[in-house]
Amino acid sequence: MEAALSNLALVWDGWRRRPGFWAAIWTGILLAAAALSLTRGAVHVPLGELGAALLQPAHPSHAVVWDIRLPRILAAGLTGAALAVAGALLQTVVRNPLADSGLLGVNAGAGVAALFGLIFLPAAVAALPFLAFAGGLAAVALVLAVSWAGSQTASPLRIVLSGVAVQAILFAAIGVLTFVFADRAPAFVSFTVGSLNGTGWREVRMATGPVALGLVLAWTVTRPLDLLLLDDDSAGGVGLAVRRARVGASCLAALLAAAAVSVAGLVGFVGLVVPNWIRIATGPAHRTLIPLSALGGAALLVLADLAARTLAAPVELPVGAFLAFLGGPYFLVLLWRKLP
Amino acid sequence: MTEPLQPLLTARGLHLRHPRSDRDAVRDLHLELRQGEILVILGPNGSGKSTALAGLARGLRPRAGDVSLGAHPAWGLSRRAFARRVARLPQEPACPDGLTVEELVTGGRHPYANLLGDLRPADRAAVREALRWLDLEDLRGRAVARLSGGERRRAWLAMTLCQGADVLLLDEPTASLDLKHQCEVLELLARINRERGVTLGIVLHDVDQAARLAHRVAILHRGRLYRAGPPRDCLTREMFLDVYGVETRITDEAGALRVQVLGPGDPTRSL
Repeated sequence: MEAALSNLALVWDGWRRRPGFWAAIWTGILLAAAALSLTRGAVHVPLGELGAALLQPAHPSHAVVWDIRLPRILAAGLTGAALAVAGALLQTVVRNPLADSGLLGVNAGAGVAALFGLIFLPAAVAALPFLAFAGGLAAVALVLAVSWAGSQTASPLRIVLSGVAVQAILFAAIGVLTFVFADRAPAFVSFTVGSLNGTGWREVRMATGPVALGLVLAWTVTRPLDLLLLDDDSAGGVGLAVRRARVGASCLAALLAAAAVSVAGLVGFVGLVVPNWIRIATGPAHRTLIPLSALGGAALLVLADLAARTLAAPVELPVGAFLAFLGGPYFLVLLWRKLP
Repeated sequence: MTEPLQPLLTARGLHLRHPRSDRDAVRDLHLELRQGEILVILGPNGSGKSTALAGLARGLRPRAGDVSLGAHPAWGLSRRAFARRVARLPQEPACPDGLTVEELVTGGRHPYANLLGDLRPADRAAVREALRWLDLEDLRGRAVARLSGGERRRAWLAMTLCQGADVLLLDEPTASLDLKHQCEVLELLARINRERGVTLGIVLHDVDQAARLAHRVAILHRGRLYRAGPPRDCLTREMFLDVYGVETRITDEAGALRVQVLGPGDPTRSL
């Protein structure tokens, strides 16, 4: 019995550092969550009928599955992947595992810009992610400039503090916008807390381009990103333009976070927890970190959204709040263990 | 070695200042690194050794003066073109948790990477060779942060080695190592110079190590070059009094220069 157990431990030890193993696990979770999510809800569609419901317009459940549940799952997947990769990028940029597009003000900055778009340019839906991108970029630029001012590396404390300050300003702006334009803006609570309620094909179409672009670009710069993990002198010594690489990675993160925010509002913690899980499992090299974060983020958000809308049915919890229940404690544990 | 040697990396009238500092850490430095030599830069704390090395490595833009690599101005080359010729190993570089030896060493191929950053057979061969050369093949999958001090230093050396540069600039490569690992690293450096013909510029603290390793030494004092030349000509009692403010006895037995520090020198002499 003991021999079998130690054998199992050995096998586990061999597997647990393999990227392929984790890719399979996350894909499994993603597919299972997606399948379950397609069947569950106000209208129950048995698993056996799922194929028919999806593909045959005449099926009585076709509208529910095809027009409501599938786009919502895709939107969740895109949002989760974008947030997780944005988090991974920002953690590398500031060389700190506690960074995240929420903490650095990117999400809030993108949120303010997106709200502006929704309120004042309601016709230009396609431009929404790009407007949000500009807002997110401005926010992260401000936070990083303040925390880097006068030093070569930003201390985690300065990043968090300037992130908090910038976020406070942006949240105030979000509050004012949603209050004054209550008739045109999405509900303040569902936006700030993050929700996928009511997302459809329109949101999927809107976010697919920017997210795909961001993921592909992130995948092409994985080796320079590895060099950013070293100190500035070492990275510069092998010919990396350190500042340019940092700015580029921040832009990518802002693009991804902005796309996510335009779809789901301010969903936190996916960007924080997923890359950290991946790093613990397979190490910090970006060749594996970026794609596995995308996969893990998608899986986590699809799963979380499924839980958020079915656990307390018929009441639908906002997925952002649901994730905060998961992520908050994780963040505390991380602080407890990692910070001196 | 046959004289005269070609200057490879040359500093002319270099003035260097750290960002946000209000005074030059290195002033009017004229120094050349000659093809195939080992030049050791010595000096007390705060004399500008590391700054001078950073200036040579293009890590700090000079306020005045210039650095040239062969016939080219160093700052006229692209960052990566410069990195293909000159590699730099900072003092106690930081490596993140979990990054493996092989991943770190692969970073040394960045100057040769294309836009997509994928590795070509030549890159893989260079990484393999560097790992073999520094006896790291068994450690390739291990996390750098988990290695012993000496192994970690070897991993970083492997990274700079697979950069394929003609010049290697190292800032205190023996710092915080125990005696055995210090010897090991110094021997490795001598081998890199001898067998691969790599020109070395090294900042060291230990004058005995410098005397043993260097073909030439350069002594910095308060940001200026005090003297440069063969160890025998530079490591003199007078120099130690002037620069370090210590009284010494220098012995030269069978070609091995030994420096024995006797105590603080006459304070009126060290200005």
